[in-house]
Amino acid sequence: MFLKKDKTLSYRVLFTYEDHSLALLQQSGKSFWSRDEALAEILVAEMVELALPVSERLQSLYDEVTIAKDGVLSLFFRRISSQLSQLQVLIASFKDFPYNIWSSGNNKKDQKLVRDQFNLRKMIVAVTLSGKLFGIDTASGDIVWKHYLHNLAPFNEYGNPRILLFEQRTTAHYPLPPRCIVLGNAKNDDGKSLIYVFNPLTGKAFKDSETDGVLVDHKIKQAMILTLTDNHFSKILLMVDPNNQVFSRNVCYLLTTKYKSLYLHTVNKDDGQLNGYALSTDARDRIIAKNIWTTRIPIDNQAISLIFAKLPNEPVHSQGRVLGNRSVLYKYANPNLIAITTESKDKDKPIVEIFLVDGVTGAIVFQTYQKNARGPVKLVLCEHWIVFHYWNTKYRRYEMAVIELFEGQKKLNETIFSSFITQLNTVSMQSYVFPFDVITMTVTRTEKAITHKDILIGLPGGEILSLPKVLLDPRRPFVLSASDREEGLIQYVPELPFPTANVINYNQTINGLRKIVTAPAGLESTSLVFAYGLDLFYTRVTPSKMFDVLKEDFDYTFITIVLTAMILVSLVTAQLSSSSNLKKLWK
Amino acid sequence: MASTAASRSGKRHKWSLDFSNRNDPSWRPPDVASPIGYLDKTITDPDSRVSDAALVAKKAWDVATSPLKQLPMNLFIMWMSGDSISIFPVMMVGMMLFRPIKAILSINSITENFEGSQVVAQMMVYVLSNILSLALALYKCSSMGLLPTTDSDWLAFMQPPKHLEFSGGGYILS
Repeated sequence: MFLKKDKTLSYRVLFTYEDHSLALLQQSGKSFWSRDEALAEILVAEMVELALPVSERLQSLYDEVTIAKDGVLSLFFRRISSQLSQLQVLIASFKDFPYNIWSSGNNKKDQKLVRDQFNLRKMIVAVTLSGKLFGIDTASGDIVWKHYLHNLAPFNEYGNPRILLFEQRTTAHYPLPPRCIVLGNAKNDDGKSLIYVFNPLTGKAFKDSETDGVLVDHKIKQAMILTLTDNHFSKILLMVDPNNQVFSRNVCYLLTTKYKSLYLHTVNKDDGQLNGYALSTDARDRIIAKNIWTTRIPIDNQAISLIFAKLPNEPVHSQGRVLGNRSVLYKYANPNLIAITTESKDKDKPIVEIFLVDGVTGAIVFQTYQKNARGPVKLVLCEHWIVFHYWNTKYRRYEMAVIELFEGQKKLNETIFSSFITQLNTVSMQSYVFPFDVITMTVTRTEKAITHKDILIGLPGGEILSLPKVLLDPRRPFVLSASDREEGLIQYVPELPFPTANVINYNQTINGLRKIVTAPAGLESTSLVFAYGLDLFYTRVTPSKMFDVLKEDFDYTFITIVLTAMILVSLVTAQLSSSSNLKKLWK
Repeated sequence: MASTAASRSGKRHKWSLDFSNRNDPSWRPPDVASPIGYLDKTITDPDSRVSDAALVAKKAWDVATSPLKQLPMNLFIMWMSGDSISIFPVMMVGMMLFRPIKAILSINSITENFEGSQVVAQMMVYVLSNILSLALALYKCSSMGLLPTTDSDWLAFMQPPKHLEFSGGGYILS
């Protein structure tokens, strides 16, 4: 309550809304400010590519490809006209040559939300605890769209809230728009789940009737997105209910033929049971998940603390590691590997155990334990290695250990990888002392996985440290020999360095950091990093420096001048020499 | 006479006569015909042609075995140039690779004046000795690590294996 200018009594009210936003309103209803505090509780975020700029060229190419052939002559003329328009666009683009790629976000005339040349600008889709969805532009950090789902509540994953977000279709299939799915519990209807299918670039639902999501009549136990696509290029999403019935919104005939290679696994924390399911058909020809294996992790005096599975379709570029004596250690890059960590409940003998279970066969591929170690354990599993971080109670320090899995010096089968055939042969492990506690760890991702990987470590002080993976190499020897030097190994030093120049958020601390998400960009050398918690932070990381982009002050003019001068000089001298030879012959 | 006037300056022999023309720049040999039977050219001994076949064969053998003689020198050059990959060793190895190949390809021009019964044997020896030099150059290549003999050289061409099974899931959600 306060006195206005004309001495009448007025009031201002601070509202807190259901979607966790705050607003200050005056008596007349005018709002002074409003803030979306839901962004402080992001549960899951993903980076989605933007669409290609729709131009006449794209439209004409699409028309050319899809319109039915109606005569050779008309096709020919259409081709000529489309190529003439392409030529015009090309000539117009020479006016901007050479242009600076880094100005893609600051360019004032570039306000439309389209993909830039190196696919660095993406849209971050974030789902928050309150059920509100946000679309954030990575170039400027502005919120492009927001959508509140009244009925969305997170799943309860043993006390942690969890919402599933999947990208079903990317922007690669013009003119079909991209598609994302959010899965969660229904807040107001018990025993039902909510599915919301939307376009990640606009936030709007695909069907106007579904702006609040679609209710599904059963609870979801687990969900899995496949790489199989239906005839509209959407990936198939499978949902399993507690009765092991498998549902999908877009079942297609591919599923009925390929289901034999699909497996699901669920982990029960309470009794330490891992159940593996294979998809098969039941008597009524519906697809069900049949329990084919059960692995029990003994939880008498330990509790499962973490499970980590690999992302689907993660690329592995080179199949082996070249040693100094020119032989190859082939990597055991199992895409279905699950890493499970357990911590013992006994206070006197704290032990951390790590199990590597194959998600298809249920076999414990590898198992190791660390004595005098206490969690909370943070783990990263990628390609053929695992990095995990724990507290050593005996020496009272934090340590980071790395495990690398190899198939040996010979590969049994070079063309296929099957969990039933491929065997793990060699495991190398090493541990180091890391001076800090770690909140979260993740690994940079690139499109083809050619660049070196950097491990992004979120520290409790609000910094993100980017450690090169070459430092965490189990083959690092105590004494370097000549062949080790050729291999590129660094000598083993027990402490991991903390190069302050590698902290990617320089002096901007991220308060309340909870998770870091990485995504590949169009450039192979760049990885996009989005960290969220109480604060949001986004940047690009180049683990191997920018090896695929020319430096900014590349001398185009000098090189073209020298080239044209050389060509002219060579032509002129050839002409002169032939004429002088001719004159000599005539003498 | 002009010659006595010239010799007076010598002061040695008052009455000597010098018939040479070294002080007269405009003197040219008189254009008279040569005597009958005089031929102005050299004549070779016809007897020397008898041993020509042996000489030709000997020369041919020399040409055929010349790469073998260069082999020790090549060995020494290879040992001196070293195992690293830099401009000098690579140049040496390249030269040693191409010289035998060019020699084998131009065998016709080199052996065109080979005659006699042992021509085929001589050509075979020539080719073999060149192949030996080539083998030495290849051995040098392999010791420098240039030949793709090990697994690691073919690693880059290995395709990523096809995955037969796909799995997904996680904690039980409720």
